[in-house]
Amino acid sequence: MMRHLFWLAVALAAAMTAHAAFTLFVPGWLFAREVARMASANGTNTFFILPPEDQAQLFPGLPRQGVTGICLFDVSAANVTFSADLPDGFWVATIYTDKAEAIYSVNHRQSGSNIFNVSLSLAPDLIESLVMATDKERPEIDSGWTVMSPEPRGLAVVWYPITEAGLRAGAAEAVGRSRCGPEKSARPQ
Amino acid sequence: MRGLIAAFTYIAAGAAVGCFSAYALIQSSGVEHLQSGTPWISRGLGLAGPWNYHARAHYLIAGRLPPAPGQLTEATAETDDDNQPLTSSCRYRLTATSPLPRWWSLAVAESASANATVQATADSDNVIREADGSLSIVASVSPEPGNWLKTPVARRLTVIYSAVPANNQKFTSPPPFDVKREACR
Repeated sequence: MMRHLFWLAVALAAAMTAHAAFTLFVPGWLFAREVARMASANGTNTFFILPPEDQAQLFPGLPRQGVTGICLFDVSAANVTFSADLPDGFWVATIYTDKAEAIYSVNHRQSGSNIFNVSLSLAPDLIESLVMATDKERPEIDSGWTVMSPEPRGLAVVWYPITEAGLRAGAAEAVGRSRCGPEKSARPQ
Repeated sequence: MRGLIAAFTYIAAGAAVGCFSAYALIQSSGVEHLQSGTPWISRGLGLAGPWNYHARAHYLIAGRLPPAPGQLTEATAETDDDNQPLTSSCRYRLTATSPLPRWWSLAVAESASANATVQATADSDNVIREADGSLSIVASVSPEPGNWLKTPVARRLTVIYSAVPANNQKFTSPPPFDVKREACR
């Protein structure tokens, strides 16, 4: 009897461990694998237009004839600048962490311009925050053009819907003028 | 030897139950029925609520991203208006029931995997309205006259509604579409 109770307790512990591990790691791993496949030809910190199949994978609810461009950014070594240069019309630019948390989103009206820069940097961790609070040196509050990501990796996504499939190539070329890359100046220590 | 097998069985069973419960919790957390009597559910509020980690995990598991918050609204239906699961063996008619937003889209995808190769969409830019202004879309495996959404051959289907709401529309409003089953094979 005691032996069965012991093994039931072990099974319960295994269940709790597996539950926590699955919740914490499996979704992020599956998504990272999918995004790495999409970005395999372009790498990180590069803006590129997704083919319709990958676009439908990332946003299955949106029409395939629209244009979606992404930049898989990595701010662990240096800040990254996303330089949008978008055509006229309705568009949405969104910054996600690699945990799918949307940390910034703007559309053509909110932006007021089709050409703008978003500076992406890594948000300070708890210890850095405490040190900065002690030193009275707080980082700039996130403005429309400066975004601090709680995760070192994430995605900048631009979605540009179009009315006809025949317009996709031209729209993709126009959206593809946007750029994404490390900032030239080193991150202040 | 028998003890070892028993130990392995207990641990493996525990781990399997743990994984299954995590998956079930992720799929069910943050889900809200937008209006009783309609099949539409949304994770929009879940993404902004205390279950947002699990709501985001739902998207991550499918290798996709949630809609841009404050820009796009998204709702899904996995059943018809009579609460019967959507399946490719039936033909469905999706009918607009009230004014539509300035931009909207309806997509049909295989359930769970949202498989990209079998996704079909109809949107505000490419649908044809009837002479009286009404709008209906048939979702079926084989071609239909008028607006037609090709459904993938699958046991379970999901209809995904995306929209850019007008200024006076709430993000939590249910999609203005009925989902009626017409015929089954």
